[in-house]
Amino acid sequence: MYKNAGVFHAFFFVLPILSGLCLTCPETGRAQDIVAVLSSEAEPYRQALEGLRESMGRPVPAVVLAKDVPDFDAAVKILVLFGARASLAKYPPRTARVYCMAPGISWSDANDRKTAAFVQMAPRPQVLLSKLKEIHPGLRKLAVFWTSWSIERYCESMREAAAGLGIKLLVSQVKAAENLPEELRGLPEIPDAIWLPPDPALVTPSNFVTLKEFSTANNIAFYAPTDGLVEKGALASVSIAFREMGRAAAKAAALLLEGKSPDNPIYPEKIGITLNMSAAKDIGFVFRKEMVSSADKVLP
Amino acid sequence: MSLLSTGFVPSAQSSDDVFQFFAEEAQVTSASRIPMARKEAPATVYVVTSQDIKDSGAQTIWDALRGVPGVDVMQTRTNQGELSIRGLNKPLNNRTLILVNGRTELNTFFDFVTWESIPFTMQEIDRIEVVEGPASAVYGANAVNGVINIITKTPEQFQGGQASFVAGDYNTHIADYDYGRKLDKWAYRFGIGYRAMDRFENSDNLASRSGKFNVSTEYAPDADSKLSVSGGLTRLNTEVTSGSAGTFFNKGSEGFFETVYRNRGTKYRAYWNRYRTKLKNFTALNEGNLNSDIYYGEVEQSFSLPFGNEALIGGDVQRNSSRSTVLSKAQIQQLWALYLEDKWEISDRWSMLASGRLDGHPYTARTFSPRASLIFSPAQEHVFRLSAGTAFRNPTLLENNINTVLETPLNDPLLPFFTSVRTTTLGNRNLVSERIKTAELAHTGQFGRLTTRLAGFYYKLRKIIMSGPSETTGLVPPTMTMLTSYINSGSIEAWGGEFGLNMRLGSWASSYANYSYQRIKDLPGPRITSRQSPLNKVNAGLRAKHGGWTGDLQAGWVDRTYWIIGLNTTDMLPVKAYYLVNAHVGYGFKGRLTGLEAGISAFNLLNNSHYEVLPRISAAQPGQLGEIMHSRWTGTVSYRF
Repeated sequence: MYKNAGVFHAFFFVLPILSGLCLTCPETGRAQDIVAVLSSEAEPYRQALEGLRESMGRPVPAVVLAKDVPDFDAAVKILVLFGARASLAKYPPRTARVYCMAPGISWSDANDRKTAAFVQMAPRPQVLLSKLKEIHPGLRKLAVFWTSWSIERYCESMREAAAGLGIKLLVSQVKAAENLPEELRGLPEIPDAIWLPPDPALVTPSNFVTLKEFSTANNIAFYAPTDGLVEKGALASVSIAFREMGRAAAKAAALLLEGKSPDNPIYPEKIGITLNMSAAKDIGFVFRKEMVSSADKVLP
Repeated sequence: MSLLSTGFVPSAQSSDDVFQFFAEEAQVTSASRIPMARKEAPATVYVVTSQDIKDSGAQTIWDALRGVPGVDVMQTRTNQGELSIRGLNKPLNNRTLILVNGRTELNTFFDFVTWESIPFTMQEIDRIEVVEGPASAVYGANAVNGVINIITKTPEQFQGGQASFVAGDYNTHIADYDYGRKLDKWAYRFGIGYRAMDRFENSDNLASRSGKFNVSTEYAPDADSKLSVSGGLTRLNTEVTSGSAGTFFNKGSEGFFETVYRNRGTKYRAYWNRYRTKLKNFTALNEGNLNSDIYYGEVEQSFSLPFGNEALIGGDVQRNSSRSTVLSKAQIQQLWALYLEDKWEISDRWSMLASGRLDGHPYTARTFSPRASLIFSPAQEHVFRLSAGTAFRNPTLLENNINTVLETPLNDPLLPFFTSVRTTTLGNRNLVSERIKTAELAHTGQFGRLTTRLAGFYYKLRKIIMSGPSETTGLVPPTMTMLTSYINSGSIEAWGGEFGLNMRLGSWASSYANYSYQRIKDLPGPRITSRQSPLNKVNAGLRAKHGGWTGDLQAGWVDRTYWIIGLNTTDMLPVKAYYLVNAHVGYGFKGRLTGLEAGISAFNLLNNSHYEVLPRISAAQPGQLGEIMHSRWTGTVSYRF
């Protein structure tokens, strides 16, 4: 038998462990040209990161931002930034940025927009309004509230699309989140529906309750920016999954790696429709059968 | 920081995750770009919005602020009110800084404001921010017990025009027209207004008449920069009381021209305030005129520092020039300031704000005003704040430089051969600034539909500037001659608090109630200033909207106050406690008439005739020359297009 059987056995014991470690390590034969930065470990950012990695088809290292910004080595060319905290931190000027899931930040906040991509949380306005019209064929007046200036710009881009679909937009600025009830009562006309945009200053539990109560009391449809809020009681949502935002960020990163400037803002292509049947019953709303059968999620 | 492996499994998205996500986003965005939510500001801040003003039917700024806890409103004449914060009431109040879009509205001579002189209409106001507590660390002189900043609407908030007409009792006529538009990179707005009304005490006599005009333009070549140029002019003739010295009509014109340029975190600002007024019927100053100009320039830079700090640094220079018949010669004042402000996000729950300002004045020592606030937010719905700081008031131009002679009747049995007193008043350039130190603890809480606010404060005001003792310089019947000037004397100590509730009553109504308590003590000397402020105040209101209808009802009760009965005496008489109920009902038309609104407002709905400051008792006891407040009904028609 082998004189060094112990070494031989150790080799066969250690090898699988080393292989497993190597499989979980970032590829060592290729520089880390893309790094993801998460504002925190909150679930939405994690889901977006998964989408980014799935779409890239390779591991992408990620850091969770605390107070200190990590040093990135010279190989890092693209930073994919998830959330406002990550978006507003300071990074090496040589890196291109993909801003994602920071609805309160507009592309004007970037220092150099030519090497930056901005992935929107809301669908393309034309798509959003078309889908809302499919859900709600009688939709003629849609109230939209905003506080963040980035959302105001989105609302402006909705106007042209709305006009083409015969929808009148009632857009109101809410100076502070607690002013929403006053603005609701101050609407110049009674809308057919309210759409709550993904405005971080406005999407609060208190405002959600206010909108839900207003909607029920006045038999007005209440459309939310995410399917999670439909679970809470909104009538429906036309939204983009966090994972899909990560996928859109991956495409933008790939373009930037090729040296191309993305066509900002970037709207993820795949959208999801979620319906809430009991919320519909509360306001006497009836979804079309075709809509119920084609929706991505229907809540009882 | 931590490295994440590639192997975690994401869980299903829940609504709580979503709320948490948006809350995190809002917290970061708010701290870096959007002005701080008022519950996280470094001082107690109340905001009265344009919607509040419209729904309440308030036609004056002080009526719009009556329901704000901690604000003492004292309507002295039909169309003049005094606003002070946490006590220190007086006619011609100069311890509260009044700003319009950050530009001072205080007259340089007396450091007070004639509200009618502000060249903006009520419907141009977007919001009124009331900062309670000393704010000299940020705003400089006169922010002794607070700041009232009136913010006007931007052109895009109009995107069209609005015309309104008000008519009512006491020959009240108010007409306003405002128009604004945003065109790609350019925006403009202009407003015209006319206001007139007769006196409560004598409806045949004019109380106030004014015409005002303003225009502003903005150019934003990109999202990071904006240039604004604006100007305005008011011609006015408004009755004001100076207290025991007499009433007068502030007649003339006041105007401004301003330019502001912002580029990312840098701001450049310059303005010119112009006053050309005559103090008609003011025998105390021989109907003097006041011609003054303020030239102001400021540079400000904001930037980020390590460890979650956001800082702001700036400096300004101001040149005041005044010419008046009550001054021996034209007076020039050169003022300057340097300031620094920093907000430190210690953690997700803790933040600290610190600011300091150094001010220079030609006659007083350099003044440093620090302020610090520690803010703790254990949950999104709760904010605790501990603040401390100092503020100051410089001597006014009048207090430094006046040179005038006043003759008043005398009726003293002990001096039977004298029928008049001729008093020479001279300014004093050796005055030092009034200084206040304060501490405050506050909490704001959200409990579903209920919002609560609680604040407790303590302050001490020292080196109070006041009229000094009169010295008899001649006794030749029938006239006694005297000499007086201004001195620093006395201190005031105060403590108190405010408690308020705001409640949403379903989707169609909201209500509020608040209580203010302020105990003020003069140290040492006669109890004068301390008794001029009410010990207790209560306010409550209800607002409802349904369909096109709006109803608003507000009630307030103000405790009694005491006022000196005349010049050269410390004798005081009370002004009884009073209650005031104001109401407004309006209707907004729909369909073809969308944009048209009509309403009826009642000031002093229950016609509780009362004084808010001591009226005249006799020729020898002028009191503070307060006017009685009767009920006034007005009707409003407005059209927005």
